[in-house]
Amino acid sequence: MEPISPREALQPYLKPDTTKVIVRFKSVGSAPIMKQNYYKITGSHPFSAVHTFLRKELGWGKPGGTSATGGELFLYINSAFAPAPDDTVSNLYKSFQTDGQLIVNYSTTPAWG
Amino acid sequence: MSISSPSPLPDHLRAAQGNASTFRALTWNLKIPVQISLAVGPTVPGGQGMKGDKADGQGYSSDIGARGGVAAGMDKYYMQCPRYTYLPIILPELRDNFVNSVLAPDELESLASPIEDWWFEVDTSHDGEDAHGNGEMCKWYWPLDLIHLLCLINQPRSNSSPTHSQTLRLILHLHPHPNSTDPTKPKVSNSLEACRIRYTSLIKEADYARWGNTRRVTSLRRLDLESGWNSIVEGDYDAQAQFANKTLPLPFGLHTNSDAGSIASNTHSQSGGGGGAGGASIATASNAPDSAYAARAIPFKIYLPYNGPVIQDVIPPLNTEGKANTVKDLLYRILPGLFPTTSNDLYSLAVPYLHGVELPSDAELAWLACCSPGADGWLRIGIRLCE
Repeated sequence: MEPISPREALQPYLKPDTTKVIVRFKSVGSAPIMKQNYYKITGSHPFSAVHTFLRKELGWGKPGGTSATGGELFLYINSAFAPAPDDTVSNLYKSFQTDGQLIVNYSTTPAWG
Repeated sequence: MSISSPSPLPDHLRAAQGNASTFRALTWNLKIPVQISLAVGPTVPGGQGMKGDKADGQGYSSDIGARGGVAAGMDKYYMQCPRYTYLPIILPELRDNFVNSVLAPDELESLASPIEDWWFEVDTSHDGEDAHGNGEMCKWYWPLDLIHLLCLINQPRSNSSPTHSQTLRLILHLHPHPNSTDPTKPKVSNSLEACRIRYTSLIKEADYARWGNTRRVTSLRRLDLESGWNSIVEGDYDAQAQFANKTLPLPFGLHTNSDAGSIASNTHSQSGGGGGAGGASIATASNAPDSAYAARAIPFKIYLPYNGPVIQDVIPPLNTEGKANTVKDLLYRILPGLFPTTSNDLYSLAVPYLHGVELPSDAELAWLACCSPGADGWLRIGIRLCE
């Protein structure tokens, strides 16, 4: 068998993770409640995409806005920490999933630092 | 260096603490030579990209040449930075000692945006070329170590000369990044406060990955929690050492008989792989230090070259036989195609790097994660291909 080159060996790992992850949103404090709080989100998406998606679902306007529906929205995993915007959904799921779901808490004020 | 402790530690714990402190200090003292070029003109969408650029090919060219009023030979700044530091920490020094010295106040006002809009990118130019990058903003919350690691792994390792230029070449832009006006994306501030918040979140995330909860961090007094970030800003190792002693476990409990009993006595329960909100609960009796080998998982991230995805997973410190998982075990499990078990030379296709140094394959992950992590508690391993 022909020896494989480093580039060829790397190639399979560069493909984006297309598996879907179940994300369950939970509101905290006075944050609006969602009618549907389970969604399947592609694992390769960065967590910033979850942030954008949630703002859209909630109709929460632009980040940094000051109106009632345009203020800040803070996202946390497992009521514990705020992941980095570039953490992927699949990495967060693998490391912090609970019973097959990634629990995302959202709040309109800082909740867990 | 002084280590405060409420009560004297047993000999084996004192030895473990001494061992950890030695290597934490060595890691803390690692430096990166940094060269910074100045780009005064705004970036232009659709410019040239670099090898391994984003898959969609969208890059931005940095118009370094259009820097009106900058004296030739004054457009580079050199500094020696700790690996643990962050770009927002060095930005004020660059403004005061670099930008303000090459641009007159009126030029600065007319040519540059406010410092809140400045940003960095990696200089990907080759020798003899004008400085240019691929338009990708260096994240403000990335430690310099990570930016350097990503540069390093994007250059294949030559077997004839495995070393490389250690200098990290950055371009400082004085105009907003073209994407910063996108209203759908939250703007990431380059302020110290925003970076501190992100750093604290990463500390908590590492704690959660390690133990399945953030109790060790959230139970800290506010001053103790802030001391971690303040030590980075002030370059104060003593403060950092005390913070690390409160947040990181120690490397004991695996090799000696007396240590073996310590894990059992200090550990009430230990979870396996999957984890979650109700994961591991390593309660300690009488504030005894935690053993790195009793953790739920190793907080690590693996970075692949050429914009490959970052890999994170739950890898416990010990394997099913009770032996410490090593770098080799991690690579076999996560990247078997790049590190085949059948190969005589494990590093024939690629080499793992930590803090800019080639990682020995038999290094224990738990030891690395408690003695040589980043200042935010994460073990960041970069994979560099061999030529």
